[in-house]
Amino acid sequence: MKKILIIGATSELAENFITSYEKAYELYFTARNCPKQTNNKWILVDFNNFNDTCFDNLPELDGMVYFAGITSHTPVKLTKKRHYDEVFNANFYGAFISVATLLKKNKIKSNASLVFLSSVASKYPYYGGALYTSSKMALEGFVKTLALELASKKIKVNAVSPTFVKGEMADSVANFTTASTIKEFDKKHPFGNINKNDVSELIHFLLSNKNNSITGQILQVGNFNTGLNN
Amino acid sequence: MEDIAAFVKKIENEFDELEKGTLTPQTNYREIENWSSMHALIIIALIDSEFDVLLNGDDLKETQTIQDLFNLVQSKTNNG
Repeated sequence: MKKILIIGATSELAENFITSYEKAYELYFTARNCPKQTNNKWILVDFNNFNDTCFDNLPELDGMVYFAGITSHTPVKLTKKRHYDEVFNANFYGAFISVATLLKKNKIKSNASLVFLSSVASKYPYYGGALYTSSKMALEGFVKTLALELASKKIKVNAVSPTFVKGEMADSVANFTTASTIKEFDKKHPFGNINKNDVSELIHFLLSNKNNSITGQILQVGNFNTGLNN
Repeated sequence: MEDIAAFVKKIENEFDELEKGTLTPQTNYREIENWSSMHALIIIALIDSEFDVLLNGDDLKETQTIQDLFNLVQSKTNNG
């Protein structure tokens, strides 16, 4: 059974993935806050205060999925360093330092698959989202470079880039939107908006042995602004 | 915390299209000309940035006037 590390395991998309596929993998989890049920497969990791021994007890991994991330709703003019630190630590630095640490400690097997959650916001920015958008763009640049560096070990590195998935993160957006703007947003999806399973299934494919050739890609989930919807 | 006059000025300063001196503590901020969800986002971000108080949409729903907002922020800074 493949051993997969789930980083940011308490995020909504992570919870959906775990519920759907917990029997298909041997899963290990990290989160900033401990969930109610903990066992030795859970590691407490806070990227605002990272400790590079936190992965020492993990076995060698067949894969990793990076779900950690937070949104931002602050116009540039009102942004402070603390906003920058909070968003970039979760969305970018955490991914970077986790991979660097795991590689250095030989915790990633050859042929492994690494998947990172990005967002369509990296292509389609929104008001107040400068930190979110730019941290996801940074993450995508990281993914493409890492794919190059790990190609010789046949390690696949990809990002999955969903549109706003109905759930908590999208609800935080709804605080600032009205029913009519949400309707407009839905209209940008010719097949309708996506659900969380769509994201989980793509991640499952990327982790599987069926993925022999996809690496260094940013895969958009959700038919947002495809040009089909005119 | 600062007084209400300074608070009104800060909000006025964030809305580029607003003529100075238009707002008072009694202004119902949702009746500001061309009010939109973007203005709500700016008010929330301004209060977070200036006072380190993070309001959510439900908090905003409880307020009508700028004085209400000021009182809400004051109560949250005093408690925190």
